[in-house]
Amino acid sequence: MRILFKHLDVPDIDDMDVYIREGGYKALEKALKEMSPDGVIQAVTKSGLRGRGGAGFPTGKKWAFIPKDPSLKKYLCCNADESEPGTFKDRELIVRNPHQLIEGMAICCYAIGSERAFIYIRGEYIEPARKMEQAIAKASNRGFLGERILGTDFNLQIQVYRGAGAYICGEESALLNSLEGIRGEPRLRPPFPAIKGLYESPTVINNVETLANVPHIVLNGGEWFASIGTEKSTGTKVVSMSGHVNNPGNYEVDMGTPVREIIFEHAGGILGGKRLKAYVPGGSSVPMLTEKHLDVGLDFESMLAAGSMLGSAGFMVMNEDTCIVRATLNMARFYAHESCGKCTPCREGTSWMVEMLESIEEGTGKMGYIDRLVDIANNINGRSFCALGDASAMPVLSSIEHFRDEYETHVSERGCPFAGDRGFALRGG
Amino acid sequence: MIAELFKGLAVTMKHIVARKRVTVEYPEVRRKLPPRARWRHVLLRHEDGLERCIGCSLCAGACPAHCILVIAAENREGARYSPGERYAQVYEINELRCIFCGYCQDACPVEAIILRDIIDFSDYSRTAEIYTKDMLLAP
Amino acid sequence: MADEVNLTIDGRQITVPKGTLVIEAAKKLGIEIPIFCYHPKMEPVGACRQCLVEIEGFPKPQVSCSTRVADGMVVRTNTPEVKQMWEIVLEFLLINHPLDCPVCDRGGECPLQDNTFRYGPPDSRFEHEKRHFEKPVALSSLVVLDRERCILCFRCVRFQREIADQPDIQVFNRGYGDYIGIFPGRPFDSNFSGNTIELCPVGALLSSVFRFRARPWEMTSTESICPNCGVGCNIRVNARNFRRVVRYLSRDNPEVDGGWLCDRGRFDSTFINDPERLTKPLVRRNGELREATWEEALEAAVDGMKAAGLRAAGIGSANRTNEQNYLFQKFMRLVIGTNNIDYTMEPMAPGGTDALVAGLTSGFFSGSIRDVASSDVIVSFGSDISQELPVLDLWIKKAVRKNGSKLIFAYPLRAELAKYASSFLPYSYGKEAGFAAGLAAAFVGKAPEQAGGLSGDEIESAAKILSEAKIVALLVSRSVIESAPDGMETYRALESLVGTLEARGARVQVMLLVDGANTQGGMDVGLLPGYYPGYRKIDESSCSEIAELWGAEPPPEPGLTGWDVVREARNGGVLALWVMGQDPARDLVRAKEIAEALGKLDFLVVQDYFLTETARMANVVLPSCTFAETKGTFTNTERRVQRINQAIYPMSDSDSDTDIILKAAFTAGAQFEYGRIESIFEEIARVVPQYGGLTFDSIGPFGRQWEVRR
Repeated sequence: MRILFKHLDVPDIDDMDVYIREGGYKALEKALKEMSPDGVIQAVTKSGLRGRGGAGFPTGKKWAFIPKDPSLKKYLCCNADESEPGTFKDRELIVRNPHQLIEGMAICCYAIGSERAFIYIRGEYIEPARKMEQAIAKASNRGFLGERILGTDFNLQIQVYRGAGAYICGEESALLNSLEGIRGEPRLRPPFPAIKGLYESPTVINNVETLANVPHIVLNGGEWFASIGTEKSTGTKVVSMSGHVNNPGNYEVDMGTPVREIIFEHAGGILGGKRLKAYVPGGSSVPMLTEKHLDVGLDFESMLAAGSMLGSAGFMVMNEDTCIVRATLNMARFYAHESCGKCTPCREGTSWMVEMLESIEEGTGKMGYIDRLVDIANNINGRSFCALGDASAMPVLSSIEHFRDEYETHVSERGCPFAGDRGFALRGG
Repeated sequence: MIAELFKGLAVTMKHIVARKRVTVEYPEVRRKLPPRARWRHVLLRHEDGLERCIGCSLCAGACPAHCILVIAAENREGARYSPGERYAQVYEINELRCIFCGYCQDACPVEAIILRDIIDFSDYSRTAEIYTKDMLLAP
Repeated sequence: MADEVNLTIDGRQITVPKGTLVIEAAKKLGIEIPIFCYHPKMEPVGACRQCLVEIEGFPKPQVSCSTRVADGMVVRTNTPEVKQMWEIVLEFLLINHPLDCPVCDRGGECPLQDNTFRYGPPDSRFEHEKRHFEKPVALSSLVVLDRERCILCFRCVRFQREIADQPDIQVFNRGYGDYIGIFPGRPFDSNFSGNTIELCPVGALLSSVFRFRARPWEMTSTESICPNCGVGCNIRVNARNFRRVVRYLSRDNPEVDGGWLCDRGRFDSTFINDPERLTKPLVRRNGELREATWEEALEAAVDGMKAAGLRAAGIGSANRTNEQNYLFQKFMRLVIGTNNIDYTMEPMAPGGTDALVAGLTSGFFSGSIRDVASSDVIVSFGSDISQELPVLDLWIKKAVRKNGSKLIFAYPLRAELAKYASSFLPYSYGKEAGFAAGLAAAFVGKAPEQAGGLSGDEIESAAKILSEAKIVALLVSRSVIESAPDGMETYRALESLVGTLEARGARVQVMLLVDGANTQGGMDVGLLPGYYPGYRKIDESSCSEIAELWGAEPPPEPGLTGWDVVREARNGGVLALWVMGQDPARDLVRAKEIAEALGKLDFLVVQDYFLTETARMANVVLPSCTFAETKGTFTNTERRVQRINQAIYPMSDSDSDTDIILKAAFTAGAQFEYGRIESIFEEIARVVPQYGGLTFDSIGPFGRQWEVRR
């Protein structure tokens, strides 16, 4: 079923007039005129919508945490930092249909009582940022944003803020720091952003995809949304397919769709008719899975049961020619480069893992490095300040779990058995 | 009884006549010292001529007789004495107080100080027995 | 009991206030948890991850430095898992640490060393190249940075941001490449930069003054008081071989300094062992100062002073101890026979000293430093606190930034604290009284058009802030009372302001701000021409009172002030002067006039460490000892009597000021007999009522305030 990509075939859906013609901003009108803020939150809670950024926190619950005290200033931050490797769904959602996001944000702001919202957009997304700004300007002219929206007492300003290229700023509290203009580092919790977030005020931070779902929930009701997908993971999920597949791109599927169907039907199978070796289901921060796990359903619970996580559903598919050590090294380098340096395990551990992986890949590694990698990864996991440390351990732990023999071959043969420039993970290598 | 007497004298005579002499005519003759003899300290240099000593005072800290004084300073452009930042500006050992235990050698993290088999360093004044860095440094 | 929380740590129960951090609760139980980034005086960050513990109910280990206690919490620090976590964090920290402990100043007193010895791994599994940085980097003329040793606990950055509010140093770059640095072209010139050196848990931030001067185990540590300003921060004097003072460290006195020192105080340790120090007494012969024996010098000094008869005078010092100043004034009064004694040669307002004394004896000035922390409005009048009393500046910043107290900052120039002020009142110099009167009037609704060079609106805005105050800390600089055109008038205006405030139900604590380390003590023990010790105004009854206490009669007439001495010296009214521990010919604003006047004197004795401008003009120069070479007491701006202790032997042939005076008295044939420094203090406690009941022992390591009852 297509919800977010419903309008994808409509030409010029990014134009506001076309969007309105297709039923756009109806949900905002409905929310403002027919529903109370609590009613909106209830609908979202009923829908079972969970955060699409990776953690899967129930969105309705998050909104309900915001204090109702009208004297407090509240903020909404839309997290469009999308820095997870292998994930590119938010860009498409913004570029193809920016008004859907604006509508979602407006409804959220109405529900939580915020009059100011920010879109924190990835610095490299120059075109999407421009598109978003144009769309906001148009929506303001038409009275969907600004003062007294649609003739009600509701006011809202949305501002686009471009990040400066740090992965960590996709972490919600680091994002707030970055928005405030200070060093992009995660904050200590508690206090949670819902109590003290942006400028010490209650703040909701939601992913682009999460907010884009909101207008549809408001229009069609929470029960309708809850009927899609599985019991605990409702609705659809936009999957970003990349790597060794014939048709890379974004696909919207129901929650619970088996991975086999996504890879072999939607994405057109493995490149060159080769065998699948491994795939990462949720951006590089989740453990990788193998051929054995092709029948796992794409939802939060099934992925967890299979030993991985749904994450942002950024699929990276690797075929049999891929050197797993090299792929892991590539991801480890990414985390070492993106670690903010605040906490010890992540700062020192990520770079140590890179050093060892490099040695193994270059053929100077020792057999003991493999167990040491596992030990280091286990000691970063769960002990670092934020989830970046945990994320950095996942590729290392899962690749050694599934492909230990390949690591051993690297060490015993003093080099990489996959000579030449094959495998997708070679950039930067 | 007489026989016993001669027997005893024979032992004495044997020692007087036959035994090798142990007294050495020092300083004209020098006895060979055992290989691990620990006597006067020497401060060593690196091959490139820089002092090994980094002025860390660990020898002074280890010294049970408190006979070592180290005052450190920083190596500067154009006045480099040792590798790294720090060197011993003043390095003095009061050899009269030293008990030649070798703890300084043990404590030294850069193997700068060793106790050599130099035994002839007696003198007439106490101040002459305070060995300064110039006197201790290996040439 | 809602504010109390029960929890269990390692199977032991404890009840602590709500909001306590787990690590603090553990500390109360005597359970040690290793730390790096945590510091009790700063906000927790949880960055270093060294203090991880297990808490029941949490899936992951938690950092005890930023987790707050909850009722029924069960914490474990003694499991093998926790020990393993502590070990691995140390291993992580050490992989890029150069381990150059032998040449590191911190080696021997290094938390990283200590934690590694206690909790660390026996060996490192890291086999790759360590991180390299250019080193050492001079951040300023005082602070040197070794980035390779840095473990990125951010204590320095946080101190500068949270406490000093001078965020000159920052973290640059990211992750593995993180380093501490300064902004290009902007050196680390905070007033408090030295504290970052003491906070640094490794040898990354180093003092350029102390660098390579001594290893920790070679130093002795002596409890003392910083002699640099009126705050009287508690310090530890570190010395090598009892000969050479190498550095000062802070000594946390929560009532005075809160554990911080300013750079001016901290780095001012080199003068003690300066090669320029005077080592021999000097006597002028044939127009030139020549070395002499103590006997010769003292004889010349006493004879010269006595020759002047009643036309002699003495100037004590704001950085000499109470004992020294007390003996000095006793010597001047009894042996030389003059009441021409003062603690400064600055020009003074008529009635200024009387106003000060009135304030001090009536209990008007009875405030304390800690009042700043507990008041909702702070009024600072007449002092650039950031420069004159730097650590007090930290108290004010903390009150304004953390407690939300309001600051009314009255000072003629836009000084640093003006930026924290809710109301900044740049009154004109010389119009202090008018300003104070205007403020008092505005408060009762009779705001003048204009007062002290300020518009009525400005005065009124300040009065409005005051009118909402419940607890007020009023900090009044000595200079606005003593040096303003009319001291008594300013004092009266302040009195009426406080009176109206109190009538409205506000609690007002007034503290007198004095600049010298012992200006307050000097006045207390009698360095005033019009008062005997203990602020006894000179008259017949006080004269006989003192005579009874001393067993000899002091001169019965009030003497000349320091500035009077300058004036009289020019026309022969004063012929001989004894200066102890001051350089008025250079340090004071009117130095030129003073030098000229000193040149006209028949005879000048100077007691000092260096051949100062004043000493160069002297007939006899007596080499004296610094505070590090003597024992005694200082009294700070909040009237806290604090002890200093002898840290090193006196330099060469110099002698402590007490001994010099005693020897001079002996030379003059007087009977001054004191067995020890303590006996002088015992006499002060007998003679000065404010010090009644105090003894060296009862003062204790953190001092005692003398009480004024209102």
